[in-house]
Amino acid sequence: MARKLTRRSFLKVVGVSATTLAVAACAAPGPTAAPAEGAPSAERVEIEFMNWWGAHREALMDEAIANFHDMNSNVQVNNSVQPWDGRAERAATAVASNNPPALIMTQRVETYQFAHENLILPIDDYVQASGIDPDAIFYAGEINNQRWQGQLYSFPLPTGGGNTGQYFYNKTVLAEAGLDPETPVATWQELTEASRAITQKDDLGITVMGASPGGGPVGFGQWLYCNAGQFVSDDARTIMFDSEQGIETLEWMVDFTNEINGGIDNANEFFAGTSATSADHPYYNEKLGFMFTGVWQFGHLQATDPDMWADTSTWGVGQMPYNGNNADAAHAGVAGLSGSWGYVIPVSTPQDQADAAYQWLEFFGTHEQGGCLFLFNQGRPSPVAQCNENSAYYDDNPYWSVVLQSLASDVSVAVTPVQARINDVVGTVVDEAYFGQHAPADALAKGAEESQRILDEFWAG
Amino acid sequence: MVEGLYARIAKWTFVYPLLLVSSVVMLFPLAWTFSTSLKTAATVTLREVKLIPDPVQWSNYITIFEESPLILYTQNTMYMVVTSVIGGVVICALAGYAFARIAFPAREVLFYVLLSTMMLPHVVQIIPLFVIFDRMGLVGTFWPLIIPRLLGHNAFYIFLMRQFFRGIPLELSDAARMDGCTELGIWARIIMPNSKPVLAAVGIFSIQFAWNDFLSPLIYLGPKKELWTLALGLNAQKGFEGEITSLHKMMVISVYMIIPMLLVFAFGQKYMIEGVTFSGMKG
Amino acid sequence: MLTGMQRYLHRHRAKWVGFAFILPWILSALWFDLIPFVTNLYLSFTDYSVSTSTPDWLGFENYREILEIDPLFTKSLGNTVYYLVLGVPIRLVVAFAIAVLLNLRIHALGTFRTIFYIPSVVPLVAVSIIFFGMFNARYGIFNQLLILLDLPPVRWLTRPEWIKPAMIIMSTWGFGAQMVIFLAGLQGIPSELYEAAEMDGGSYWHQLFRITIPMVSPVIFFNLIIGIIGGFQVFASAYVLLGPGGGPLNAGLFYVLHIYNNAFSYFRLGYAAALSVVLFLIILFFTVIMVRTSDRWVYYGDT
Repeated sequence: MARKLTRRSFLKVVGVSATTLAVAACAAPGPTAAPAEGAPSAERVEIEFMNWWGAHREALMDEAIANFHDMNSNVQVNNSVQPWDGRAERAATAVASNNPPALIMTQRVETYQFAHENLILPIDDYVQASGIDPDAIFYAGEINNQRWQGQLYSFPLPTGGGNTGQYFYNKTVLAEAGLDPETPVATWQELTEASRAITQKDDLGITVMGASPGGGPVGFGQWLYCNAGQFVSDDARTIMFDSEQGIETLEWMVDFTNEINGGIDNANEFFAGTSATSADHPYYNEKLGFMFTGVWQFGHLQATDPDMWADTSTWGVGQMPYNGNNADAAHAGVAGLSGSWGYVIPVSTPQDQADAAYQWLEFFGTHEQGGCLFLFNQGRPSPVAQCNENSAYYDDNPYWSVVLQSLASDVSVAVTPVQARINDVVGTVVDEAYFGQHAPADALAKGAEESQRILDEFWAG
Repeated sequence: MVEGLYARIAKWTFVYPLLLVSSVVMLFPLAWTFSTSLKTAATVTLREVKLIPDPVQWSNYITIFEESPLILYTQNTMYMVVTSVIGGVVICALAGYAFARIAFPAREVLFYVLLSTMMLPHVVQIIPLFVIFDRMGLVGTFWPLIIPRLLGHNAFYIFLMRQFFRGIPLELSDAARMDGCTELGIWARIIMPNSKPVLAAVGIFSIQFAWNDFLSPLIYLGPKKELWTLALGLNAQKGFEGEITSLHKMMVISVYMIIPMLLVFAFGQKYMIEGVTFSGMKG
Repeated sequence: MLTGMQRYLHRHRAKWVGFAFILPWILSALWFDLIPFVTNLYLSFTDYSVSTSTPDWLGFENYREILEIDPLFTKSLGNTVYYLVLGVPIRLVVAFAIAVLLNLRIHALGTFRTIFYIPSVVPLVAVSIIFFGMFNARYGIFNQLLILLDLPPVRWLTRPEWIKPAMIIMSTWGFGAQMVIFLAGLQGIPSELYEAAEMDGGSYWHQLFRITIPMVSPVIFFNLIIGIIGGFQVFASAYVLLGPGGGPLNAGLFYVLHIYNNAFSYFRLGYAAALSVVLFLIILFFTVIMVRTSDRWVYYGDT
């Protein structure tokens, strides 16, 4: 949408329509009162804002920072975009530094890990002093992804949800297979039948694909929640993915993959070497019926295949198919299992910088000219509910209401600082089921046992 | 050495064809890199081997300088390269000579220590070393990258040179010792001049490793963009979560990084074949 | 002639001269090797995370977990040994063979040498992307070659059994550095030796096995030791090609990837330290054996 909508026109739209709590809460410019000791100094404070948003989003970020500078003359934010490779090493050393960046962009599990080791500052005092109500501003799942043991460490950005709750489909592919392109699939059973009609193979593998359920912890998790299953109990103490629903889910994934796609390697090979940001991805070339991906895909579609983006008779968005044989199942998305980015303040940050960092964090996280604008320009939704009501979204994107429905259907998974280990365990057992080393039920039982051991060890320690 | 007919036939029927075929295999990735660097966002692909781009977008080589301060990155990289070469061909050569030829107490033990310094994986050294430099206030400067290089902190080079120096006939250094040369004199007058092949090899390696080094510059120079090196600039073209949005631009920077290294090698390999003849010496 | 006094001075000064030569390296080793080593040794007995507070002492708990619980320890060690046992000799032989060919008196020698070194100068990020394309089952040149030879195409990066062969192919392709070392070594062979052998009527193969290989044995020894030490620590190429998980079914999860995941994904730095100490001991064991047995086949000019 950057193509059509400049910041100015966006602001005009927002200026007219925004009368909401979120906007009202941060409409008053100027420094927020610092909690406890010391008022913010009148001198200009310079902070390093370390993030991984990448070179091609740098200008968008700079725009949000410029908006912040317009309103806060006493804080200078340096946009420190770092190379993606080596990210974890860079974050770990930064947080261990005596002279750290004032804000470090971290995934949810990293935030929890750092919080658990008391390496980062909770921001509750700042929030209280500022007088905003995060629970009223953000979707509940989104803000809870940044809380660990009752304390808030960041505002979310981008959405931790919206990753799995919807799918993109290619109407041309559906039509060519004799399917109705205007009635997308709603259940697993419909998806299986549609894929069977679409998928074509030759000696070397798949040439046209209906869909691939995917693998890994998120691939499994997304279907688990569409079968009324649960990954872990809400108190994050009991592993639950090896339930009846879990077994049924993995069995369906494996059967689908073997039956329709001829095995997981066949399915993976079909995508090898492409990505949603390259023009040769099967979805842009009428070779993939259903693409399971997140809300970032709107930006990718617009940037990678502008013609397809402009012609909505060629593509559509539906809500994630659920298990039609399970009466309890419904459309669902899973959030917070991986990703769910935030921005944390290391404990060794000097007071004046920490204060300034919060000022920027609040602006970036909640203000319509901060993160909302940044995400809007990428065509993706904001974790700030109100920002998504901007009518310009609807003008540009005919499927915007589906996006909002999918965000609403997201379930935030309770995780602990050891979730990265559990995710790898789940990824391995899903692989083992796919490659036939274990039956799905055995694989899940094995994975659940090991995951539970890791969890128990964590809670005991 | 007069070449026999048999050898000549073998060369033309076996050696040249083999070299030519393998050259194609070796050149393919370079050709692919170069061809990709001339593509557009819409035609760039990993899937089809299409070596002639259509259209050919030469302007990629101009616009990259507007988007990425490659000149500055090159200057910064030169700090690494120069100190690396000094450390490699001087400091490491001194140590390599001592391990090869000078008897001193605990030499064998220290040689095992030298080898063992290569055995602890780098990934677990990152944080301890970072913390030291951080507490010294040197993060965000070139020092954490330059100090180890200048101290010859490279067991690979030292070991390599030890192996070569041991091959130089003892008679040469004994004769020099008779003439009153100190160990330093023997090193400078006998060992170094007779070791051009290995010095060329170490020179090439130290230039190239410093040129392409990524992780250490990232950790120590990451916060200061004005100190970034080329490898950081290249990697910064990757997007959020590693997404590759501009493969052609990455390949432009890659070509920019490959060409100087090829020149260095083409130049350096001449020294590598400077045969060392120890005439009159027994082997 | 040296007088007795000169000889005495020489002997005692020489004792310390050696240290003077290696002093910079000793300083660097104390700083950049000893400190991380001692730190890791200590941390390996603790539950250290990234925290700044003092970690809890666990005794041998981490080591017990490695040997008794961690399923990925044996898996990743097995992957690494597979890679090492096949990959290191293959690369060594290829590098040596090409170096010998490039040491013949042939045309365009410099050009060929440069061409064979090219893979070593391509930045790793680019290498991984290129190989991703080349290993593609449908479009990649490896499979097109197999089809051309009437062999069944292979799923290089999506079938667990082909991941390690793919890694070995990629690492063999980068033999340039070893080739350079061999080339340098081949220059050190006095041509008189070949001339004498030729007069005795020795065949080419005879010369290769009786002169060339013994004369470059110090260099073969070097490449072998470095190959083993490096092979146990294969990391960067696997990380860029397969990601930290090492591909399907952890088939490409090499030992250092496992350390990396524990250190920087799980932030279990104490456990990662224990894993690295175990690896250190394994590599040390093999290296000592290699060095000890080297007397039998490595020929030095000074002995």
